[in-house]
Amino acid sequence: MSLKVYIPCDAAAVCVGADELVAAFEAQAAQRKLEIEIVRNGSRGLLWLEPMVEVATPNGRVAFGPVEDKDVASVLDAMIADGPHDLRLGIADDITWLKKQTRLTFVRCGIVDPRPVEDYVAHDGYKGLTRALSMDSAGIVADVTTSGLRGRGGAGFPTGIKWKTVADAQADRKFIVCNADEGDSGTFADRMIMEGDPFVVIEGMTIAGIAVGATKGYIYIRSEYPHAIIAMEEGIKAAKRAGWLGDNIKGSGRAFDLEVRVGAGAYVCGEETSLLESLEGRRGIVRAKPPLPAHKGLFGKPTVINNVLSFAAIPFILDNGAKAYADYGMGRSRGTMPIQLAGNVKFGGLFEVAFGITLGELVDDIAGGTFTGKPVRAVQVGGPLGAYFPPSMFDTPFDYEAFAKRDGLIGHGGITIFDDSVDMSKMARFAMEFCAVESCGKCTPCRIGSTRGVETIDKIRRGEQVADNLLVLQDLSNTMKFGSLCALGGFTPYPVMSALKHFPEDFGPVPQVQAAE
Amino acid sequence: MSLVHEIDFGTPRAKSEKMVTLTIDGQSISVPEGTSIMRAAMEMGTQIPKLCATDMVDAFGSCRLCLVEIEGRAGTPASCTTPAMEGLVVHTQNERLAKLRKGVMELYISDHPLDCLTCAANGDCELQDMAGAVGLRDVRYGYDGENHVFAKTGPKHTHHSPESCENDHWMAKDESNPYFTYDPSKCIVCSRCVRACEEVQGTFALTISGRGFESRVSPGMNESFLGSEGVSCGACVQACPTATLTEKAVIEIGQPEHSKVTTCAYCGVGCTFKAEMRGEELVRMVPYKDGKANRGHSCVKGRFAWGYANHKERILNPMIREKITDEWQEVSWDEAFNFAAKKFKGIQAKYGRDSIGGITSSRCTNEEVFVVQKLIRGGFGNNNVDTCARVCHSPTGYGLSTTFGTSAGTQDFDSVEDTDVVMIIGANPTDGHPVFGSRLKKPAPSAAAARHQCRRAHGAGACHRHRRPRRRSFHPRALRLERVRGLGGLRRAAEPLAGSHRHHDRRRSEGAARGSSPVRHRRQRRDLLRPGGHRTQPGLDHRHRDRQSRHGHRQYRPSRRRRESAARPEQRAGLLRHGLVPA
Repeated sequence: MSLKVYIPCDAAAVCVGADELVAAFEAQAAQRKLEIEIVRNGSRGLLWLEPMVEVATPNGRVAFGPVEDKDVASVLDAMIADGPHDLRLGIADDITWLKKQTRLTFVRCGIVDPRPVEDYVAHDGYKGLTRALSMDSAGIVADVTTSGLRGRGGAGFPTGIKWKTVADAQADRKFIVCNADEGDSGTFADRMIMEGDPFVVIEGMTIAGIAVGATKGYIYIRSEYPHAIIAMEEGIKAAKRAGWLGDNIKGSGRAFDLEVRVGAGAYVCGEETSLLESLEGRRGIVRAKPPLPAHKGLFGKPTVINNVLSFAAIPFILDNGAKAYADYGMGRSRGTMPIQLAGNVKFGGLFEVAFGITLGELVDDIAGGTFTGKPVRAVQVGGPLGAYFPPSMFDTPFDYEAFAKRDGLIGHGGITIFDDSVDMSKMARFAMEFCAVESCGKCTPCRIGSTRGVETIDKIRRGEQVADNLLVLQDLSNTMKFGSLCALGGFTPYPVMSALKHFPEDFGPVPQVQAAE
Repeated sequence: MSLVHEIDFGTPRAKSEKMVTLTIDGQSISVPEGTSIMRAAMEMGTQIPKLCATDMVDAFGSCRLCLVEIEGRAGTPASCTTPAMEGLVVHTQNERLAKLRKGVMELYISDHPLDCLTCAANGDCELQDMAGAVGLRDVRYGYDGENHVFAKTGPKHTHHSPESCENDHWMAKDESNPYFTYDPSKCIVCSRCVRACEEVQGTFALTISGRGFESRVSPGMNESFLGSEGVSCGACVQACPTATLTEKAVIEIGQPEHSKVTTCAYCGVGCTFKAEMRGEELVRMVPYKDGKANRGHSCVKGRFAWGYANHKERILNPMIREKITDEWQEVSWDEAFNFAAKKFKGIQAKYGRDSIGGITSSRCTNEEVFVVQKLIRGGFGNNNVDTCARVCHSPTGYGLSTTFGTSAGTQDFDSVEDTDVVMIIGANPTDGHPVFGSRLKKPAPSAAAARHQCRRAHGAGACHRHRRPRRRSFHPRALRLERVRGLGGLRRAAEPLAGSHRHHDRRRSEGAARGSSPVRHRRQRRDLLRPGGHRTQPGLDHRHRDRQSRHGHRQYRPSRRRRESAARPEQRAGLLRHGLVPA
């Protein structure tokens, strides 16, 4: 008998012992003289079940999780016998949490072996690029525009318009840059897809190159993602070997090459112009706009710079048509968003769904509320610079405009859940502190304002002239919001002001409030 | 007499020929396309508050004081980085903008010493000016927070307080450079000094080190200013809006009260300076922005090394002696003139009229050279006058006059900004004519990669600079230095640059490489020698050989830079408001 077992190589799974599981399974198999093939797939995104181990059966892949070393023997028994087990989750594809999703971008993540390009192609990979190679630039750009895809990094700028600007620009060369500096705390979608399905990102960037006339692309990955860096570098090599990258892509005469570049520990280098500065070998400080990177980007050339998820969405659009993507969503937010549920969460992980789902459904139904079981007090959407929403605002639909109207933002799709032990003035202080630590230092409102923000909130928490200092905090937030050069300083007021607005009771002398750990 | 005050327009002049018209504060103004809103407002006479912008360097957008509102656009964009466009309607002042500017100033002053009255920049400080301009009345953050001001931190910042400890952000003054000091406690991180060192001087000696609140100007990794790559050109001192980088003379003496515009005597560039003085005492030499040779830049010699003027060893009275073995005798000017004249006449009587002559220097001003040759021709009565330029400039003089008809300069310094290829022969600009060397290195705005240093072009060499990559891209490398051997080597080096472009470009470069072979050149030379000269080259006989030729010259390319003085009506209005032009 032989078994084909899937154990994720995703960094999150590795964190909870996936690599040790591989050794344990191999040891157990050897002991039983059992033939076992272990495939290191990506994560399916059900992080509370990691390491989630699957076994191939005639009915599909059966999942077990979360598996620890001590469970290996019994799980292996259950696999061989196809019998019951406490950790048995049933057919992976039938897991409710997965079935509720609309996986257009993450369709392969967790299913394929991320390393060989053959597995990618066998799962509908590179169909988008094949079609794109037969189209002209205007056609590809039109498809992307019609799909309604908006930048998934956070700004939500229509991707088609950005590509059109670069396509129309006159220059001797152009570049494609992938922003893989996923710095927002509580987000992991970029990392997951790079580790679990690297070719979808490569394909998306290649299509972009063909669309705008660029022959070189760079993927800027944050230094804190070593597994993703290796995965993308291996993926590029494999794609080159198979002829999907290089001087003559599959005999089409079109050329595109990719390179991975690694960051160096600066959140601000996730801001597009700061990223370009870093790529050029300079200090990662923000550039003033205009000019836009689409006109003067990397090395002064027209550059398409998009988030990992934006590129990852492209192959589906080119393969299935713009309408297939645009059919999902609401309002001006078309398609699906890979939402990352994190924080004090019961069922945390990657949930890709069409725009329009309400925040409440995400937090209460999908995420299952808090890990501690205590009531949800606040939810931060959009990363550390996102606004805090109380449960009273759970009717807000996941839509760029709907969130903006309520002084919030979707950002990169990260949702962080807090229970009722959270101290919201401490969270406001954290927002300012985060800004102070990560500020590039170029503009005054952020460079000095964030430090003064921390000090002002400290004074409030010490009970010093609370009313006056609350006013100072509001003025400072106004200065930072409208005066800052980029969104780091510009959006820091969102968590601060939303905390102040929805949880004013936390902004006073601290002794009676228990700090959340 | 008072200090000559030059307007700082905030951002450099745009070079486009196309004009756009926009409305600022209800007034209509037309400016070249590419001009920033800040500059357009300034030309109109409206000073938008600014700290990080200065027209010697490109816009940066970091201080966030110059925010304006544009109808139809959300938010409050910075006027320095926002280009003027046709039909824009801009408001530079309203309650919202005033509040934002106060908020920004409040942050600046919360991390700045409050010693205005004893500070070297008192009366000449842009931070002071802006605090006043925006109406800052209090700093609600107090002064107990994190700062770069105090050496010790803790309650009341007293050195004796038991709870006070070292302030990690504080850095001591750097007084290593003999001419100026760097006081990090006053730095507002506007980066003007860093940008001036990059864009004006081209040395790249300065950077900002640290991130966020810790950002401070740094002259290197761990060097002092004197130990750094800096060449003491003073561009950083000139750019600094506060007392962070200040001349030591100003610290010692105080602010100057009147100035005279004059020419530096050190080298052939002839930079224009404002000699700023207090009474008879020279306080400092400041480069003049309207100087046609230097355009507001300087080098260490003219900027700082003028101490020789008042040096105690400077000879102030004439001295004479009969023999070289005699002691020098101090005499009156009359006696000295008589002595010299008598001696010269004596030599001529004994050895003939042609037995004496004189040599001037190319580093003298034109006026000084004129007077010397007048003495020789009119006083000595012969033509035995020459200049030291004969020694280094002879070969080039011959080549130029054969090719162009004159060995004098055919271009003004500004033309280097519109040049694609520069060939340097027998010159070492970064050492010998540093201010021009800096202008040579100034990169094209669109070529971010063209930031290489052109150093030490010894002997015959070719230096190509990649300008305007979209037009006439000769080759991808920004700056290339080659040694060439002989005319053949020069021709081979020049050929790829001429490339497939305009036919007469190639002929011109080949002609220059081959020497004077086409008949045209010989004919030109004959015309040159005929009195009266060529019809289209008036006055080009030997008496006016050294004047710049400006009219009808085939190779002359007019400078694209407009002169400051030829003011357009709106500009003139602005100049009027600033009292620069008589009403």
